[in-house]
Amino acid sequence: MAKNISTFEIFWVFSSITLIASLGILFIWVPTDANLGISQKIFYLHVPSAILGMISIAIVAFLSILYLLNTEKKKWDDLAYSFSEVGMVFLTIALISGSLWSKPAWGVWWTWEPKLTLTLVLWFIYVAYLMMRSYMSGSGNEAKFGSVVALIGAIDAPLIYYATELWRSAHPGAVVGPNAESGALDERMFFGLIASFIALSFMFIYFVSNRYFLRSTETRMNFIVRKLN
Amino acid sequence: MEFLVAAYLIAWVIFFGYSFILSRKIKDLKNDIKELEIRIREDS
Repeated sequence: MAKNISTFEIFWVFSSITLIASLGILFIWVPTDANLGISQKIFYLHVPSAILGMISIAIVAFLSILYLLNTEKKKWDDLAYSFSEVGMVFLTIALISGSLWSKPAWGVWWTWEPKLTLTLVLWFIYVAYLMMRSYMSGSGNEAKFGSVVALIGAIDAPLIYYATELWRSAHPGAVVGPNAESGALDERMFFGLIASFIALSFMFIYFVSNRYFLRSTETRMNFIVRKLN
Repeated sequence: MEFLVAAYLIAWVIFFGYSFILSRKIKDLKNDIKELEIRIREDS
């Protein structure tokens, strides 16, 4: 019997193929940094994870505004919740990989410099958002209060990106986006970064689609159970 | 080298762990749906 291929499976296949390809590119083709050595390759995990973690909170805030404009459309809230959970997973990886890169590069696991501190603040905002949603579950107000937390988080994301410009910082400047220095990266290193970003983006989409399916089904189930009771 | 291995290893553990949690939750939800179907059938 032929089995239908779901969207999840397509994303899973895409993310697996691109992840294997990107690892091959990073460890075979992309050169090793002359100053920082092999530990610099943490960069290809750290930067895309941090970007996805920051983009995610902006998406959560945008979806929260859409929900607040029309509270009948529960799907915006379900999507916002899904993005927040997956965003937190990626930001956790960015913080851990950053710490593991900081030790050989700076000699310390952590330093309270602006970019790192603001990233940790964003991580706590994610935690606050998810914990508030969990504790207030069923009260009917969890989505509204969560939206406020998400909007605060969305203010923090651009501050993280521009932190090296706004304050004196030990953290290197941006290598991608509008604030990136030209020629900050070797051509092959830049290609490696893009390959890694594409691979992790597919994984991000795969997780969000799975989480959204779960969340929206739970919402519908709860609605049916309430009607039955 | 050990920092690089640790970073990628931890990332993969988190990815697989999260994937496992999601698949378990989906499995639990499918069971809840089955129970609900039985309940609706019995009620009707």
